[in-house]
Amino acid sequence: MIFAIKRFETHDGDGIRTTVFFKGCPLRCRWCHNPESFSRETEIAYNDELCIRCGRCTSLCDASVIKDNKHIFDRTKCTFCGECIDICPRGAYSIYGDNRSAEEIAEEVLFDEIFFKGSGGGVTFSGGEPLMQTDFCVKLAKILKERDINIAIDTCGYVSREAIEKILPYADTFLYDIKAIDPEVHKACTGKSNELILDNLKFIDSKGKNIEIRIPYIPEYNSGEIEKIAEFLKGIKNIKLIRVLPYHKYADSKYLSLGTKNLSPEKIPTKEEIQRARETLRRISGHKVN
Amino acid sequence: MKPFNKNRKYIENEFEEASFDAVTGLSAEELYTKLSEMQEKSGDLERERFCAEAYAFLLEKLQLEINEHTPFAVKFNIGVDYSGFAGIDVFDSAIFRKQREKVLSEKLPEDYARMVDGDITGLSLIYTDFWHTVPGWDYIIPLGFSGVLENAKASRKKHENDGDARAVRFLDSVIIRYEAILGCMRRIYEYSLSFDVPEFSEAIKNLTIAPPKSLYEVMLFSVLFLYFEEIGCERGRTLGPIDSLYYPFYKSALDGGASLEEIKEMFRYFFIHFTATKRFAQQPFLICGSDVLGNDRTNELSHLILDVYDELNILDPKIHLRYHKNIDPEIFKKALSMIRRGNSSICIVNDEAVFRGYEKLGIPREDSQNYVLLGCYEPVIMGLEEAEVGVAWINSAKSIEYLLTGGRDILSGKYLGLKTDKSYATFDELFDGYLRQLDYTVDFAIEFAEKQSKYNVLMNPSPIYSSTFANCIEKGRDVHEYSLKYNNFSLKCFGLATVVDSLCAIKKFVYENGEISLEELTGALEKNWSGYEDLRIKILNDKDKYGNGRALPDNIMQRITEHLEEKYVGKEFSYGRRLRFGLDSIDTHLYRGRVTAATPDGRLAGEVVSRNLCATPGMDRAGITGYMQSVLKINSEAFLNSAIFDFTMHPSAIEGEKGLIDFVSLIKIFFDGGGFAVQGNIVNSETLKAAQNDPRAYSTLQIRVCGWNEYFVRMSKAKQDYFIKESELK
Ligand code: SF4
Ligand code: SF4
Repeated sequence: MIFAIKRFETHDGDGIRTTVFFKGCPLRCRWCHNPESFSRETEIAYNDELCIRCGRCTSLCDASVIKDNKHIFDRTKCTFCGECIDICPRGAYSIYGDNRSAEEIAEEVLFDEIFFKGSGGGVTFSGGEPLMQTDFCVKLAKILKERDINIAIDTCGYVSREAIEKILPYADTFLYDIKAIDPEVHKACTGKSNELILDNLKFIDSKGKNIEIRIPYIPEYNSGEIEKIAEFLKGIKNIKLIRVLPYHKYADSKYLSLGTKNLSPEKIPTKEEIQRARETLRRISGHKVN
Repeated sequence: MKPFNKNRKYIENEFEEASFDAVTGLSAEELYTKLSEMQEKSGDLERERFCAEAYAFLLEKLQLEINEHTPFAVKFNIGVDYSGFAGIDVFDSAIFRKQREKVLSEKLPEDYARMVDGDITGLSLIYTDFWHTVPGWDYIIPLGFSGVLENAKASRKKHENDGDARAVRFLDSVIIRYEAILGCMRRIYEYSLSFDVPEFSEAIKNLTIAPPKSLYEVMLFSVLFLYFEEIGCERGRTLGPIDSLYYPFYKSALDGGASLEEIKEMFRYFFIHFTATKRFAQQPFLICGSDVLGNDRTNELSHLILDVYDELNILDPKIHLRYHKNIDPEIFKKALSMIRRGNSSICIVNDEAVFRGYEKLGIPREDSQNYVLLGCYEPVIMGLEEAEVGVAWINSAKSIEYLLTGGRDILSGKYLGLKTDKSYATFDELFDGYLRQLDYTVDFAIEFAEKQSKYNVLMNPSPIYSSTFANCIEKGRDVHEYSLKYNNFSLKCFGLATVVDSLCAIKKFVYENGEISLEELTGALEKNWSGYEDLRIKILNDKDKYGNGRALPDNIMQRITEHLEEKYVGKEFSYGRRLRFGLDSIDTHLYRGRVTAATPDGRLAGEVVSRNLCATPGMDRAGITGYMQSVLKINSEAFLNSAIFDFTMHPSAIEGEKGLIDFVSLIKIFFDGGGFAVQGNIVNSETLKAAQNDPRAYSTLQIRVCGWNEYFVRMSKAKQDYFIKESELK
């Protein structure tokens, strides 16, 4: 299951890309800006900030009631029929969860083939964690490879070795997240330890695949890890680029509209902090950093 | 002269702040009164002579001002209001407009009345286009004013000997006007001597007797020529390909020891002069392009021009840039990086699409290689073609209304469409009905253009513009007597996305799911959707909208544009003129939208109809590539009179060096896939603030959030504020 397809992505790998967002993730990074990617189930989002209390949805569905100018939404009553989306004048509802087949998704994605080919771009599998749905991932990748499409896998690395082995023949690049080296810090930030992640990265490296490392920078959470990360990355040969992604507090209303508990940190990094982190990474790891 | 940056503030607003010296001539009011009297009494006077004499009177009497802070020191008082875009001048208001109305209402009373009805109701704007001209710069620059006059005199003599009275009349009018120009130049020279502008005085003196000889003189000549053309109600809508036209002058300046910095300084003054003149719809010039063999014409001067323009951070003059496969990648990238930084006054046009468009008119590349763009973005072959690019703008959305009402205009109640039966058994029948309605309006515009073409010279003889072509001077004919190698005329049809979305809605909600009958839908539109708000929202939320690369709307768009191509494009009319078609609106979609009733796509009465090749505002929901896919399905090369695609993006979508490379790829792919022309809008914090206050108008504005883009207006207020703040910091 996927939850979105975004076109003209220029930040997720080479050239102009289309990113397919897979639904479901084994980690729970506190700063995640895609809370709709956590669950593997279909979800409905209702954004109260957009609602003007027109009453259209309440007259067709029991999930919503308006009382004293308050819109009360009971998502447990939702059957995902999608009618509220058609009728709401403000676009307050969205459904996350798209069960189309790999063939159908490939067809939609291939629509931008001329843009991939003309720019050296391709398709990025992201999420969530795409490799949690290994077979689906491989099926989609196979179809795309038949058309010679460049494929990037954006992974958190917390997946089985088998999943990685299966996707390897189709992947041109791995966009690989590293959040911390200290297992305790990693656990505190994401809910899981990181041995598997670091191991998988070494494995991918041993297979000679292109790697782009992404390090989200969150003050007070993993900001103390930068030197250790840099030391670790020094030993990974096939890194083409390390990117530091400054934390932004963008996703609050998304959490709210999904009814998901929001544990996002408050503090945003300064430009100087990010510059310093980049500098450190460059100096210690010897790789290109952006 | 002091450095430019010290003088800039004395130039930028000089037209608004001008105070003309009363001793130099008559005030604008006096000129208007006098010219009006002359027009009143003109009666049966031979028109060319009359206009030439009125023009000569004007040049002799208008007041002057000299600005010591600029090498383009002179200004004329022709009664223009410069508080916004420059308004109309005394010749225009006292003579041209009155004469045009008189001629059309007397000669074509019925058609004229119908044309006026079309104008008031927003159906169409039909015009007599003396306003979009491309002077044959390559002919006049080597001649100068005095050389043109000599050629006109020589030709007159020849035609007098041959007994061609028509030619003599025309050439007399050229001679009268050029003598008036030289007289005016002498007046400027004399007057300038009492100011501290020695180089200017010297250049004026030289240009009175000879063609321009230096870079400064060619610039001054261009400035003056545009004035002298415009004062007689002809208007040069481009400075031409200045990187090639001025190149020999640039070279000899360098050879003569001028530094690049001195040359740049000259361009700074030159450009800022046009910023100050505030010409309506801005003053364009062209750079780059390919020749018939595909060789790139970009040169060092093209780079220098773009650099200076960039540094000045101005919107007027505006730049037309010709793209082709072999364009110097550096200059293309530079232009796009300027667009990325928010400079939205660069329009890029695809040579290949234009060449193919000309081939559809039977014009080979050997000739079309010298096209330039005039006005907004219309190609015209300099020196060889008169294209009358703005003869008519047709609001195609009105034909949807007439389709449903059987020809009746909802807001005015008049029958302006084809009177027909209003029932259509199938969608295909209805679609054919739409094309019939559209054709009916187009046919009238063509008929009108045909009829009025006989009266061009009577309405507005154009000897200055005509004098820029060897053909006209040699044959002794006005350009509007169709004396060039290629004589064409052009229509524009706008609002097509509104039409396509409307037809999709009809197909789905009337013919497929039967949610509403055609009759009831017509009633709903008459009531501006009142009582049908739920249905309207459903239609607005429906995915089948042009601009997303979706099959149904794109297919309808293709059927309409292919129909227009087949039926009209390149068709031959009187004087061998071929019809050029365009799909752009300029800004008429706003004004015509105001008087257009509600449409089946959910649009309310009075809202804008769609612009250029754009989607209905807010309906391009599939991102820029999806949008481009829709546009690329249109046979845009058939729409030579321009098929411009406007896009809006936030800088964050294409930030950094990689973003720029991807942006370059995006536009290249669009052009190499057949796209015709683009203009981009990469928005900053001011725009974001405006969007926050007026979400509807900015509904397609996308913002890069983290790994994706979101529609700005759909974000929470807090999030919007966040981005506004962030973009302010950039
Ligand atoms: S339809 Fe939309 S705007 Fe109307 S009450 Fe429901 S959520 Fe609110
Ligand atoms: S998707 Fe259907 S069931 Fe769910 S809230 Fe909307 S209308 Fe109700």
